[in-house]
Amino acid sequence: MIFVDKYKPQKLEEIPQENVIKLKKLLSIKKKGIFVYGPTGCGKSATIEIILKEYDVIEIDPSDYMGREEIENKLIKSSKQSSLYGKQKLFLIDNINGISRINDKGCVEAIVELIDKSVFSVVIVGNDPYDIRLKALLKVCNLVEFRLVDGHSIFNILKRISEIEGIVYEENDLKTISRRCGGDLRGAINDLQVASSLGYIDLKGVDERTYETDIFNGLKLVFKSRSLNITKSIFDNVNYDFNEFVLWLEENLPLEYKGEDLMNAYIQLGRATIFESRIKRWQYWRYLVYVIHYISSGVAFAKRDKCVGFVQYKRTMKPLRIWQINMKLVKKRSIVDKLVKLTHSSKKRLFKDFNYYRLFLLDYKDELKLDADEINWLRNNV
Amino acid sequence: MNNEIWVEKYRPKTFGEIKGQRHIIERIKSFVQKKNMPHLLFSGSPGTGKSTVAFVIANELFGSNKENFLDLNSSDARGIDVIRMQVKDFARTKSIKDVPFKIIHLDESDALTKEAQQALRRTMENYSKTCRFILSVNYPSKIIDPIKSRCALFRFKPLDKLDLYELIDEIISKEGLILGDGVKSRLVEISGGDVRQTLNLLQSCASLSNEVNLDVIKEVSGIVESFDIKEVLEMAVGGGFLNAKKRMLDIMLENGLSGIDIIKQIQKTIYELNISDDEKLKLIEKCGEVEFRLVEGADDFIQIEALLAGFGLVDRYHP
Repeated sequence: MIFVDKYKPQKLEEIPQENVIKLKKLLSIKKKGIFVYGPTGCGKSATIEIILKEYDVIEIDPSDYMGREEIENKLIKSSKQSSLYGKQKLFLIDNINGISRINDKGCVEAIVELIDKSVFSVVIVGNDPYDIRLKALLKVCNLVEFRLVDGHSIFNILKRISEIEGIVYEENDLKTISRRCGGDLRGAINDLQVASSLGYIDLKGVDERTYETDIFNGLKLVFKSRSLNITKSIFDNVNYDFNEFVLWLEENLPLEYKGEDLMNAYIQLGRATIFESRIKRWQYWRYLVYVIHYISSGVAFAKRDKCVGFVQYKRTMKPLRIWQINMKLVKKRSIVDKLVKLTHSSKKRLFKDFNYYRLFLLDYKDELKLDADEINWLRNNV
Repeated sequence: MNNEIWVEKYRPKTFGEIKGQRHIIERIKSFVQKKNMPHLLFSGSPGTGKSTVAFVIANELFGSNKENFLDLNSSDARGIDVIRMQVKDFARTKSIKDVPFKIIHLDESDALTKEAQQALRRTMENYSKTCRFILSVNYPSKIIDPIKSRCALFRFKPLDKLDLYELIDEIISKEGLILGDGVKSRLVEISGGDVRQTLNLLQSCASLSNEVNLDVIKEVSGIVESFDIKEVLEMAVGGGFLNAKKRMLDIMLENGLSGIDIIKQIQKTIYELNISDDEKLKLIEKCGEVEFRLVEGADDFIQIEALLAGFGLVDRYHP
């Protein structure tokens, strides 16, 4: 039996994540949308497995088709019937970041609908809730973050396993494994099993795990280095999409670059987006090479000197801000839709010039057939 | 309907009521009298009377036979589908009752995609016996040459101060408003010769008070100009890049402005900044570059950020 299965945690207390409690609490108050996220091997699945024993779970993950229809058939239809087994029902959507752009059309919308209609909790598990494709989920879900497991906790777990298994070990070797795994507890346990296959720990032959550079590392490489050797291969082993990386760059550039460097970096970033729209226009995918070039090497070389010092990178707020403002503007849009019939202007123009009309629109509430919400909105915004 | 928004309530119904654009009106009137006219292309900034003239033509030619007139706002319905289906269906059927031809008015035709314009070109030609087109645009350069060459071109200029004064006088007497000193010129100044905006401003003022004085205007204009590009640019020049960036995103989103919309305003505002003329020239040059890249298809916001970062490089000028 492999260690990771043999030593799979059985109780929540064994999981080195503080947010386990938060997750349990959200489930106990029957929150409908819960998004559990965190890097690989930090205990998401283990946690959920334990918690879910108490539920009648209906699961879907990207090994199935996850288009709108499938979700409707598999999940939404049963979202109102109570379980046959007398347990609470729970919907689990695993590895949400693995959905296919093309084949799983409508997946996110369907999940949002599921959360809306369901009387049971919907738990979504993924690596990255800030994936642009998942934007709609963010607003209907409570986020529960699982972090990288710290080296000390990993060390303790490895030590315990070694003792139970009777492995002869040196603490230093266990520390090395804990450190090398980069917070991936599952990876560390696997490494331990490989290294100890001779009954004692031999680190020769155990490769340092080459982890996919996550977004923060990617940012660091772009911002801090000025060497083509490094920047040209940044995207060789990452799994996040370029648009998202562009958003992160956009947000964090001003934290690293100043003055002319900053402007030049934005220009490089802008060029990347030009090539991106050329791909769309001409369906000529080789342009992707240049998109990647501009967002990695282009931005990296926009600075004259290497940036030093530690910078805490920030999560991009743009999609959230866009969403917030759109929410704020829902009423404005619906009023504009009605106003269009009373003027000979386009929606686009009315939206832009809305303030020119705002003050007297209440005088026309009957002609515009404004509903109570819209009238209220106008009252509060005049 | 007697309760109409003033812009519609005071929209001229006959040639005689139209203020300004005298040369254009003369020519078009003669087309209408002869009951024959070419396709027309109206260009000019917003609120100069392009749509109004189109409506008046339809009114004078068709009277109550409204079904011979199709008014489409291209920026809301701008796809090739609309041109292929709605426009074509309308153009190819015979006119109703005793009128020489039907009219299609495509408002804000700048918004028509190139493909839609290509599709339009053939329709204009094939059905010119049954249907004439009137295209309104802000910039004629957005219209492809083959269409331009099929149209008679008319350039509408912003209305003269005196024409606007006349209009304002007419309205205040009909609406029973009392205007304070200097109000008229301030109204015209804010609206920049745009009739639509002048009327909207006046109605906004009237909704606050029957006596419109400069204070009322000030209050209204504070609401109307809810954002201040100059303030954002000054922030960027003063080294406040992060704040400027944040504010700019909000402005763009809240007002539904595209990168091009905003760059137009930035470019105009540069002249008002408190920096040396040399720096202004440099910035305008940067604006041009950014606008070019936007047209090439670059991401709106990133380009504006590049520009704002450029503003941060300006040596501040202390007079």
